[in-house]
Amino acid sequence: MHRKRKIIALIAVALLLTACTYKQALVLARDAAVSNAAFEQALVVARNDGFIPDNTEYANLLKASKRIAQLDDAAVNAIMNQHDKVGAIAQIDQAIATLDDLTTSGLAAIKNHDRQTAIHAILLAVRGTLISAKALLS
Amino acid sequence: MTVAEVLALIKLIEDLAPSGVGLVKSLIDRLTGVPEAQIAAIAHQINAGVIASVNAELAKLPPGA
Repeated sequence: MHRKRKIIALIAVALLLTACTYKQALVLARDAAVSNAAFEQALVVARNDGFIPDNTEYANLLKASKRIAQLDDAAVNAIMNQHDKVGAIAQIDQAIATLDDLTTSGLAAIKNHDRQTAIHAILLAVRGTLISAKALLS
Repeated sequence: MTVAEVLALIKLIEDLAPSGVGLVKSLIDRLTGVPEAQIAAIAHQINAGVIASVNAELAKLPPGA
């Protein structure tokens, strides 16, 4: 009898922890979406100010932001609808890889040092949030 | 219970959790006051906004960019 109680308590605690993990991961995925929206808006402003003159490079930066949004959305769906940690981590990993590509090559398209630094900081915020979400789910 | 038994049980619960976690989730929603579905909906809305905005910007560019 005593042993049964222990097992039930353990199951309850484990379920509680798992549910909390999902919720925290969702909050982080939402925060990553907010930062990515800020990144996308910063690109538009930098373009309007004439700091991203090349059309192809501008398009590539925008497409990267779009890809991050799609992957983040897929991660949210994996967490929310399927409780699929592995699937969510796979999406987050792809988003992080996209961010790393942007940081190493894409940001050179921004022809203003201050603006480039500011946009890099936004990308680091997105990356940090995604890394936290991944760590939580792992 | 031995430590090995506890660890095995935790592993089993982790594997089974996706199907049994719904009840606990609704309990946490009640405790924290922010429904999980609402957080997911906001994230979806923001991501959809980014995608729409990017598509609008891309449409302004000349073909082949």
